[in-house]
Amino acid sequence: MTPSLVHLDHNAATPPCPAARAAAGEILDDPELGNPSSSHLRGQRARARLDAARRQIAKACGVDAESVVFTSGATEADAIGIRGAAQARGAERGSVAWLGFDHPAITKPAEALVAEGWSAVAIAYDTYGRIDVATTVARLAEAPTPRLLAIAAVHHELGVIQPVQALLQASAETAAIDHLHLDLAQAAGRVPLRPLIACADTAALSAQKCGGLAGSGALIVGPGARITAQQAGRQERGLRGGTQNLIGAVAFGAAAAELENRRRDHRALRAMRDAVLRTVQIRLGEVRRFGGCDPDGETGHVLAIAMPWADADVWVAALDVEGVAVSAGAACSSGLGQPSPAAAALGGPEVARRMLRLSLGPDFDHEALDLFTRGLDRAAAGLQRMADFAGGAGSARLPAPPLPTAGGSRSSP
Amino acid sequence: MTPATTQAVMQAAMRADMRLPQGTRIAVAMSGGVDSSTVAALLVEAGYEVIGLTARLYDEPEGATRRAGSCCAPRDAADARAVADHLGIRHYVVDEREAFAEAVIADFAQAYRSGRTPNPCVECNRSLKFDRLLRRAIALGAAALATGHYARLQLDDDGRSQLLRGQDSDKDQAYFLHPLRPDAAAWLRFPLGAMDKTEVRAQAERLGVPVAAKPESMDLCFTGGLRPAEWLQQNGGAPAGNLIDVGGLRIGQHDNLAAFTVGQRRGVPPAADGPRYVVEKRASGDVVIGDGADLMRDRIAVRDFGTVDGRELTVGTRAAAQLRHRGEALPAEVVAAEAGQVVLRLVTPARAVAPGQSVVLFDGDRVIGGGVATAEAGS
Repeated sequence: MTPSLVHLDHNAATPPCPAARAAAGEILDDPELGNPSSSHLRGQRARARLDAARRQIAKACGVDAESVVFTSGATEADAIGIRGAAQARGAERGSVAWLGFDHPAITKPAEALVAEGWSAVAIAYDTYGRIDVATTVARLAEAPTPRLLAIAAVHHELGVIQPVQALLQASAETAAIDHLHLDLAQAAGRVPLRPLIACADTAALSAQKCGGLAGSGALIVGPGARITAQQAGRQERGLRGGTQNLIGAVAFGAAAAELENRRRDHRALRAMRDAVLRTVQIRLGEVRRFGGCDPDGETGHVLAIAMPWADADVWVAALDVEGVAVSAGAACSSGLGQPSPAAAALGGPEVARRMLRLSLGPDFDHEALDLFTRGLDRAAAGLQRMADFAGGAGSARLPAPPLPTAGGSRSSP
Repeated sequence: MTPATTQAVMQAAMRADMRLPQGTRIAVAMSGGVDSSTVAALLVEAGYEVIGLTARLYDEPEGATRRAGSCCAPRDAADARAVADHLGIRHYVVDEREAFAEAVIADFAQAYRSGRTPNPCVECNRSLKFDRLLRRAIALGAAALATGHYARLQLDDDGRSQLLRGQDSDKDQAYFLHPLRPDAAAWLRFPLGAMDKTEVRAQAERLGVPVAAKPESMDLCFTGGLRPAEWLQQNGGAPAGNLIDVGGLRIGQHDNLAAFTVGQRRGVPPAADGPRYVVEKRASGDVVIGDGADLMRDRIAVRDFGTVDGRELTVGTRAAAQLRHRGEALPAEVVAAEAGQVVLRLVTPARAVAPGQSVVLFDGDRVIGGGVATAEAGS
């Protein structure tokens, strides 16, 4: 079996960094750690490790340690930040604004609020999938208060960086935001976190996406933020009940301490990502790209493209058997992936089925590029054979899938 | 068995000219059942790079009680994944719900409504396994697609693929595989064709296949345990109509065409001189009633006929015609053959031939080809 040689799905999971692995190992190897809520020595020692991790995360975020609430990941943090902000408004029913093709961790809680009587505000976007500030502010101005706004600062499928500060500034006069919740799952380690967190009321982080362990994350709660807990319990200042995931939190702390280094390494990925794109274009012809805006507007590590010949799930498997791990939109274990909502919004349902997402991580080097190129060639050869196969169905010969022609596909504007 | 003998069994299942070198990538259509799981396990042991493919064909009908004996349902995909994990192979679930709904379920419902007796397993083989799943396997760089069917494939002296009955006559599935055509046959492998079920179970146990004790799948997979007529009732229903005799005289009425099967006696009012049977179902909804003699047919017109090896069928060919799974193969002669339309003369008349059912021609154990029985008697 060909091993998985090239990881191009870092937006789904990126391996824990060495510091996080070491920190997790220390916790596993320490037999005298108790429940952080216990008053005895074992509890105190666990509590000390937890709070040290809390301080590391707080420092990376530019906030006080008290602002860090440990969660099971960004999805839970989003749920607390969005639903918690709404519930804290009591019987008031204002408006909630979100981008329709953002991650389900944002869209689902927002939709739940609408089901409870909140007004929906659709955030407007441009051809790259970036927020259209002027149109959005105009919509917000019409929307009832209190106004909640939930945005992923970096889009998980497109890699575009949303103009969060510009939106806040533009809305300040005519459409003041009562609560801004930011999902920073894909932002951590890629863009500076502090300025984003400084302007948010709540912010969600995922350890798994930035060098920590899966099953661990945090909600950053700003000083004046009003939120209601979603899970009862005294832990985490009453904002998130349940015993903390000590291993995950400590590994997250160690990863957070490395975030600046990670961001520095991240800058080198843009050139590699562009080399991947060139490779694809040389091998397969022009491909439609999503989110490929100016360099300041995207993170530089994501390539979202419409593949020729076959749907994205065929390409995912065809590349995987050649040792290249990529994704057709958000990770889905059942194999019954939904077409990419982002590609559907930007290009329509047909093209959405063909959207492949390649997301690079710190391990992507020239050797990986070579392996990717080889894997792509082999996968393309398999798809070519599929196209050549006349089909076994009866006497009718099936038409071959359309082959790419240079410049035949639409490229993004 | 030791790995060496396993290799021998696998190789015996394919003639020398169909063998693939060790290390070759082979895709296995894994339903989650014992047979296809054992195929995957045997191929892994024989040294192939195996990739599991499981087609997800439909969503479990709402409120359906979980039955043993379905296949390709959500839980079967989970079983297939568990087997793949056990074997340490890659496994992909292929979403074929849309294609299955269009090519198999809609066709099944439409045919039943029009009074025909369709065979959805044959259509599934034709449009899903021999086409869509095979194309997926080819896309993944596989040199072959292996399935858990009990049938044998071999090459004749001209290098053409020949489909033969499985060694285990109780399990033989050659009848369902008749839509196999040369293009697809070249890519397919049926490694269980030379084994019997007892041996397959023994192999499954020896190899620790997690589903070794799973029961057989028997029913139609997508009806959630309902009989076809019941299922159809919940999915648009079938027309009501008259009961008429062979002379066209109206003798009663009914409210559900799907409740009748050609050859059926139950629910049919008997006449003074003996029992009466359903002899024909019409798209109008009318059900024709006749006596035993009216049920007998010595000519069958077949449409969509094709051969496994691609050779044209010629008039005068003598063959054995099998009209249903596990049905007896009846001596027949081809009296007309043109552009997929074939007329057969049966040496001994057959009882209750229903339009829509598959007619498969055999030469001994070899499948010559097959098609679909039509309402016309042929001339």
